[in-house]
Amino acid sequence: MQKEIPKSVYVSGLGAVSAIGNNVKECYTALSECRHGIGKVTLFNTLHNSPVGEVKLHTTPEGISRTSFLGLEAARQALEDSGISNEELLSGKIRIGIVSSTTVGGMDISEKIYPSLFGEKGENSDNKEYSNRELFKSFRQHPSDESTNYIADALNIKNYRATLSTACSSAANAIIVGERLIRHNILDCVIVGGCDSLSKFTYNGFNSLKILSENLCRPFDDNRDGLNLGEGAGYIVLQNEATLKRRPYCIVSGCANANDAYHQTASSENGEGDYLAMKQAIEMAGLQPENIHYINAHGTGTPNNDSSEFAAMRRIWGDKMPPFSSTKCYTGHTLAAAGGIEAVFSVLAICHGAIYANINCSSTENLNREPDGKQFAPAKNFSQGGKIKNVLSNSFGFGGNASTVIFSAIEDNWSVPAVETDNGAENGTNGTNSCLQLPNFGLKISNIVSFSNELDVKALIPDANMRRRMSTIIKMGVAAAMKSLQELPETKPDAIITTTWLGCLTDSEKFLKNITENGENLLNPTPFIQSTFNAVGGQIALLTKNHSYNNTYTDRKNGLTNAMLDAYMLIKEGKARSVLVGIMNETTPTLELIIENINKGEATAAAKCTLPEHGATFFIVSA
Amino acid sequence: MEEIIRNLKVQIIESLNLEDITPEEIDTEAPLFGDGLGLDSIDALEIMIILEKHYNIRIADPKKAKEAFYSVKTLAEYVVANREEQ
Repeated sequence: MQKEIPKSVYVSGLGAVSAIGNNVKECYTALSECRHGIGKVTLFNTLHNSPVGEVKLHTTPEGISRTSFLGLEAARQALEDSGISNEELLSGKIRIGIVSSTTVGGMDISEKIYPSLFGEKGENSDNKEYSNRELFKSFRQHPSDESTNYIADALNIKNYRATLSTACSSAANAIIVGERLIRHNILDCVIVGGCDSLSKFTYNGFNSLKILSENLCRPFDDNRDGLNLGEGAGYIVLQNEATLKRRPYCIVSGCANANDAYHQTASSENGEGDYLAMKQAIEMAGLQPENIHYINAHGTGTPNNDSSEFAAMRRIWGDKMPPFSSTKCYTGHTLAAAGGIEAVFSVLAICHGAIYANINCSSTENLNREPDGKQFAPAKNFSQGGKIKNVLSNSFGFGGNASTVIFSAIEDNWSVPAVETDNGAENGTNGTNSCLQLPNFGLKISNIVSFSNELDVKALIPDANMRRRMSTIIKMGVAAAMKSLQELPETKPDAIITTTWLGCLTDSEKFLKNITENGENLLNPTPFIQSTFNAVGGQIALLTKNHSYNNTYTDRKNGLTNAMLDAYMLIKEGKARSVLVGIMNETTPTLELIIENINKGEATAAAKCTLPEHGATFFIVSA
Repeated sequence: MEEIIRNLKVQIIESLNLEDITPEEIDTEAPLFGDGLGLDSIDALEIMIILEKHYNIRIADPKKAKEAFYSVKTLAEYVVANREEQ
């Protein structure tokens, strides 16, 4: 029996931990009382004064990265909220997956033990004596997919796992991918969102970019002077109608990802990427701009982001701007988690008819008066009980990555339909929680290019100012991608999907080494911006002025399969004709040292770790 | 002054990893940003680090030092005017 393609993708569970609460209820109470959670850094020693939004859960279990710990807290809440029982998960009757995201992964642990790797005790180190075994085992927490596996193992999610890392838009992209997995009937249920802990690495990274405020951040204020970093995790459960256990909160009615293709970290003046993401999401939802009742803006509080985002909002709404605010003044900017936490807040806005106050903002006289001198201001006060049917949430990140998700209310008289939930057997899972039956992709793969020294990097990456910043993995990836694109009949692919397990290791180690050796001052920002996992995807978009869908998977085992599945769905629903897909990894002497020593301590072959293959391969996927 | 100009050029090339450019090839009076060398906001941050590391000049507000960042020449003049005796 052929199952029908689900019409709607329901939101059936919410989970969040942030600076303003350890669960959804606490977070909403703080929002309704206009109470922020920003304060002094206590998680690590620092010379800087910029306040942060720490989660008030100060004991992270030994040997677990704080990112994983916070992630599991929120994901567990979301799954419990959905009403899906553990028995059901174990029975295999529901095809359940997780699409998680993080930017730092286990960096909170890695940055503490990195000095010990060289027998040093930097000011950064936690001054503990590690046995060799402990030391190297701890690095197992570092990869970003480790947090996904930690969450999925604890919650018995075995059918599908994917990890994304596209800087500050990560969790929104997890929602976008999860929405599609339900709509394409590949899963019945998927937990989507993101988690990131505070770390000295990111705190100093943003400080090196001079975009941390020493005050409470003031999104959209004329005198805004930067962001406050935060930490936390936010997950929502997406489900098809057939497997719902409760009345859902709302549906995901529209979502889109576009690329600004302007600069690696800065946003364009007219917010092209932001504009395209919002426009496409509104179109997908079948709405008109005036149907949006509240905008949960990305609103980081940096001069550049807020003016660019607002310029894009003006292009969509003109003079008829819906109420808008940023909730980062409560939580701080939680990076990969932001899109997840703000998804939870957006869903709550629908449930309570709420609009959140954009606190700390006093002067907005200059908020984009161009071209007509009109003045706008974010919501000043908290209100609830209003008619909020459609909420639009923005999440934008480095690499020009811009994502928008729209949540829409369901009918008041909606009730759980009586549907038999016997789909497990029909879909090839046979009641076992083994690997998910993936579709036969049936796609054409062409223009396969692997990086080799024969490629003329200078000719393929003609922009010397981009090239000079590129580390090995970025050069390999971008050069292979450009070569692959040279033979594409159309000039631009409709999507760019990359996958890498450990990302740009040379750059992240360079930044970490700099902190270890020189302390927190005079840190070069270049390796920090180049250390993001989506650096390659973003730079391909930048180089080819490509505004289309751009996503990055960071799973060791299934990264390429996940990327292919993403490409398959995009092509199947007519959103893309050709997709550029690529995989790249770089090995470094430090990685080799770590893996060699991890393996010395592991007795069984299964527990041993393999070094990723150094190189980059790109190809074009088409129908 | 000439020495500072030359040193700045070497430091900029090294810090920004400028490819295939010798200090002699950098026009002392040409704009660093936009046209000319085509540097961007991240490079401006790197140049601020050069000023602090090598000349002990700390720029708290980059906007106020905008004129200084126009060319190598203006940068050298700024260094001469603000350099602390070491």
